[in-house]
Amino acid sequence: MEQSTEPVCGGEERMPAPAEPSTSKRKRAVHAGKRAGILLVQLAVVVAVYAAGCALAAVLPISLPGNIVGMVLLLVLLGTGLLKGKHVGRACTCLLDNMSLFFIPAGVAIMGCFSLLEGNVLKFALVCAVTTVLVFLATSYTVVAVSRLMARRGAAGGQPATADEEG
Amino acid sequence: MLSIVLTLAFGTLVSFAAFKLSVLLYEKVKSPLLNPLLVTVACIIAALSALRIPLESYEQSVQVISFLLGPATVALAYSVYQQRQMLKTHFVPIFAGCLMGSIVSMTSAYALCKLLGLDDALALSFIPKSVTTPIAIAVSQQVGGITSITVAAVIVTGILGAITAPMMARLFRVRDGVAKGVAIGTCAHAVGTTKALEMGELEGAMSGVSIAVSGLLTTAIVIVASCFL
Repeated sequence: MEQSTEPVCGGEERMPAPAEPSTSKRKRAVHAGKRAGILLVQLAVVVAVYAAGCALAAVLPISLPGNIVGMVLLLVLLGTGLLKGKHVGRACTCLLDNMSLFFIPAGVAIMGCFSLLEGNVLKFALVCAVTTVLVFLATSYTVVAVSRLMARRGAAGGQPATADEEG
Repeated sequence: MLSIVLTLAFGTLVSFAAFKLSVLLYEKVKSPLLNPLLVTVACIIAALSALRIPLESYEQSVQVISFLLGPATVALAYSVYQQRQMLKTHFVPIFAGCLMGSIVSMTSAYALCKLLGLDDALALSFIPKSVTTPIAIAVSQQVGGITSITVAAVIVTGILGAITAPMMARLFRVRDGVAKGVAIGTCAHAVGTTKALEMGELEGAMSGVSIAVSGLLTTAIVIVASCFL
């Protein structure tokens, strides 16, 4: 089933996106079906990269999570051109757009650790809140400071400044 | 067999429908407090408690959703790849920001837990609280934390970050889009990124990149630290 839809993927990308205005309902339905098919095939590719990442992580000498190895793997595949953006683009965009959805099971599982926290729920919330502010502050100020430093050095050293300054 | 399939489909469908409704509600009301993930999770927890459905059976019925978090993390590579030009021009500030953020996150979480008198296992569970769930779980296991506490801290931090990010940007006068994006991605991972995407394309992209960079950096720091400690 997957092989049969594979050629559609390449062909579709070359097709002009806006179809003629007089598209019949059936044509539109076929088009929607094609898009769904492409999405499924691309999803299969991403899942395959994930599976490869997990397999690779199991044999690596250092312990790394499989999804991170998969992520690096996909980055390498895209960077070397072995996989093109059009092979995985739609599935990736779809997954990223619905990222919060995949956190639901983990979020609901919080109800299971109320007992583990015992009387420490308030402390738990306090730590989360304070560190969130600290991390935001540390990260944003570091980015701004380093950007400025580089811009100044670039201006002084004759090299073109790369960092954008916003007024 | 059929009943198993039905249960599996049911939990997934109900969760999906609840999520889509929450997104609709959020788009209608536009209040940051109605974060879709927060609303969905609260509703499901309330429903499970009211109907006396054990957490385990819910978890079994949403395995498809949990599984997809893996491929979704892999998909982050695509957003990094798409933004490779931006990443190249701003590489040093982004890297420095993520490094600083990761270090501050790990040390401040541990120190604060100790200060509040929480025990060691709890404090260790908080170390990876700012990175995305799959990485956080791996790091938590590495340092000897309690996985479920880590996941809870990660989700709560993500939701908190998503709700407060625009306020923090205003309060701390952060106007640079790159700085905002990197800060959100580093402190509130993928849950915060949904908010960053709303703030702008640049913010969203930088936030997406930072999830990956700070996730990898946190893993690297823990591995290096565990070699020396």
